[in-house]
Amino acid sequence: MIEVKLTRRDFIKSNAVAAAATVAGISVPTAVMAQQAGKGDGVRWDKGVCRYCGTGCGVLVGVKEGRVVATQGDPDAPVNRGLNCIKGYFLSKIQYGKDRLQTPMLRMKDGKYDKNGDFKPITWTQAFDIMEEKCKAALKEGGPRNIAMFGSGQWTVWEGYAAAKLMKAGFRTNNLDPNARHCMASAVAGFMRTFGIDEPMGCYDDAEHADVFALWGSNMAEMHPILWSRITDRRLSAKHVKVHVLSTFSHRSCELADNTLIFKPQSDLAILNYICNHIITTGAVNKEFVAKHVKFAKGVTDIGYGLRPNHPLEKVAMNNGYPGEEGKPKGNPNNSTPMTFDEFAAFVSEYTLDKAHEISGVPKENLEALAKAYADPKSKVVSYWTMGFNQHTRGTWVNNMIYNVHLLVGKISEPGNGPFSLTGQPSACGTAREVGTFSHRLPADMVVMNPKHRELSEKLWKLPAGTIPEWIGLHAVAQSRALKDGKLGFYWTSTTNNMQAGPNVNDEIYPGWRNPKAFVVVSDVYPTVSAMASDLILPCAMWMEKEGMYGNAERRGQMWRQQVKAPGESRSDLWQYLEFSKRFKIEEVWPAELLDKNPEYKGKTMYEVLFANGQVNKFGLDEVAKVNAHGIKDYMNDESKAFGFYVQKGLFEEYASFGRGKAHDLANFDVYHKARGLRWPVIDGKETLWRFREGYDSYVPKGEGVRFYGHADGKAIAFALPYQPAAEMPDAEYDLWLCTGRVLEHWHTGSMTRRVPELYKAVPDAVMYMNPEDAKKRGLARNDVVKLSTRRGEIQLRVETKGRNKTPLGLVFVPFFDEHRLVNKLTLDATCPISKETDYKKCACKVVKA
Amino acid sequence: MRGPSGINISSVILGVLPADGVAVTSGLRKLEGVEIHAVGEDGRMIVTIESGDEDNTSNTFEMIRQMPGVISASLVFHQYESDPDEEA
Repeated sequence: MIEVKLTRRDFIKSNAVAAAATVAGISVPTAVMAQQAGKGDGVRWDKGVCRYCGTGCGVLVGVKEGRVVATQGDPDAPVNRGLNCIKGYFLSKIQYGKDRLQTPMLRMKDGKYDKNGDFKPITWTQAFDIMEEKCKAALKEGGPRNIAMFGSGQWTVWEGYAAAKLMKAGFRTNNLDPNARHCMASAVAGFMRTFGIDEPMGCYDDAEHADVFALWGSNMAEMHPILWSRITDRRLSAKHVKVHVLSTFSHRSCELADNTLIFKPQSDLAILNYICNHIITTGAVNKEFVAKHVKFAKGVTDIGYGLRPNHPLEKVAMNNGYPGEEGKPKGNPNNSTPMTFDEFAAFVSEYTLDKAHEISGVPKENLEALAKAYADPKSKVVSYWTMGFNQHTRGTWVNNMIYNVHLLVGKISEPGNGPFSLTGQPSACGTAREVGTFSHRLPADMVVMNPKHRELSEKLWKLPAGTIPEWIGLHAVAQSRALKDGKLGFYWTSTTNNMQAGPNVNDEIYPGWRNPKAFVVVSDVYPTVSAMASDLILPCAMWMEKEGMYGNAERRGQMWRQQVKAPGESRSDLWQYLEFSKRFKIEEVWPAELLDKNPEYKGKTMYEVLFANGQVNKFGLDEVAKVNAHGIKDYMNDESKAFGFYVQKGLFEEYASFGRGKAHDLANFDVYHKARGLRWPVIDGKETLWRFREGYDSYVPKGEGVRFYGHADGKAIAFALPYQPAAEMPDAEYDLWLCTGRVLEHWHTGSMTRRVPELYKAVPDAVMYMNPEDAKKRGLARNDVVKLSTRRGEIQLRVETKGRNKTPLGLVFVPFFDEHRLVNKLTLDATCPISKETDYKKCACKVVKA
Repeated sequence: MRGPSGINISSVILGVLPADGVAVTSGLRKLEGVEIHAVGEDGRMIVTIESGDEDNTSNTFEMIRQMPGVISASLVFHQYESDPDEEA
């Protein structure tokens, strides 16, 4: 091939090489020259954030002729330092799937809405007309408890905030929950119980300081590849560093492990108690730290499994919090009583090495090696976990129990030492948790059950006292059950795909959505299985088609500017909530006695009361261009243009007023548009890397050294909790464990990644990973089509006995990204009774040749 | 001839043990659309992958990742354009 002139192809290639050279620190003079020459190639570059997981990698986004054409890892982003994982690498393509939704669509027959009709395109006016009609009818019939919204850890901060305000203050219902309930509610409950304040104390910088890494129910190599590359670098550059990986099957993270522990499902509870027992009996307790900073409590234990009240396991549970026979709640699964250190030591003393080995099936030397790593006063340990811990019927407990281990040895809140809960969604922390879109939460860790928290929220929102209801709303699984039971008349979901990701689709979610009593609205960007199972589909703007902010797992808030227009009639969720709120006079949603307390709101719309309230609409359109001039000349975003003020800034600043001065301080809006993210609390422009530690966290008073200030007495609580079996275990008929999860190439339900040709071709279909011996016993060969069934239904898929996941005897693993093989038809909707998060990792199944 | 197509151009940083440098280099040269642009003193390499619509960058990437001697493969840059030199 002879090429003389520099073609555009060569030119792009030079840019690609220059980008890699910058990241690697390798000099490539010709490429760098080409990149400099390339500044005039018509591609506009700006900073952005990856759309997928909770790592929060910075990406540079290249736009040409109104289209995102290129992305590269942002070399200036502290999280990923220029690197991408394979999903992030192809980000430029996620907005351009051929079947992008571009107009609202309603199920219709003979020109009218019909639950059994076919989807027909309609206008936004028609869409809001039918929504208004159905919502008002539901309110009339059943009041605020008869409507609900299911949102997302992929909502931008202001989308989640606007939704929370719309539902909790406007419609006066706490029936708002995010899909983050399915992924890290147990982490939240764990943090709140142990520390009284949510989110990790450490940060990603721990990866460069630790001597030991322990992964608990986390396959970081596939699910958090960029953080994994930081751990890999540390492991390869410092020879003494050791990696321990705990899982119920062997996966890619095990390739780097010095100690792999494959344990029986649910036995992590026993292993954690054994480690505590080892620490205590070998004299490794950090006595000074424990005396000053830790107290002990014994949790109640007969808490049930979050199943429907008529399930036999719930009938015998005396502390599940469900109404008992006389209507009073049966205890509270969150209860505990104080105990002494000695009582705690006695409690864990039964978890000997022998017992832990017997329950878990892990060889003793492997268990001991792990326990010694935690106990050794000279080694710094970071524990990481994801869904193996959180999606667990004892998910809150197991989060509490890893804190027990770190607290006993004082390995916490300092560089290289700490427990670290990873998140799976880009703003599970920033939006779902911090904004408070859970059915019991308000912004900045406040809760609806606390009268003082409601009062403060009402003041900041300029609302009369008593606006926010005191009752806890329906959580994710309860919403599905209420739909099936005909107790929800109007249901709106956004930026989530619960018909694929939710548990027990066959028995609960599908019958619920198709219940004639319910009107179901889905806001999304592609025709997901959820969209196709709804009654009304609203087409959304996504990612770089709107201005956004996400908050990642290390408390880092990151913003981006709108880069391109959304296609067709697609509109952002933010626009949808504000526009819908114009459809209601405040008299239609508030009772007269409430409105009498604030008569000047009479005759106003919900939009005027909530969003044109003098706070949210404080910043004019001139600000939009001014704040962003350094990034894009004459910048404007579509929502601000539509409503006539800087919507995102107004919502953000009102929201930020909840957390400032209360250990949740965010910086000023404008700062985030310049910075590569900041980790809260941000005090005087300075971010906080390690919370609760003097010298890093200015909320710790001078001289105290460490203070867990989430609790009034400044102490963390270690909880004594036992090993208990799972809700459903293999038996003679359903003789295998079914574990579900993810793969590197696809993100969650695949609605974006399955539309990127490279990713789709790399992993087109979900397969069932099975132990070769188990396959042989059933007469199965690799690639055979099998029938996989549970008590709830069956699906067919191919069996894989080799490859990246190697399961032990008695367990199969199936990823959930594949909409043609919906494994969640089969999963059990058992939850942690405290966090209400589903256990997607454990139910009983059987496999036969199809 | 392939139908109307665009190109994907991607760059990758490879971590390679210096002792395996020669073997990895010759392995990479056999892969279609793969070019080596620089080799650092520590053995790291900068490589580009070029592919059309019908090809699969991620398959090539996976083949590189699994090559003996490659201890890490990090993706950096990706650009897709429909027939860049037709438009130019």
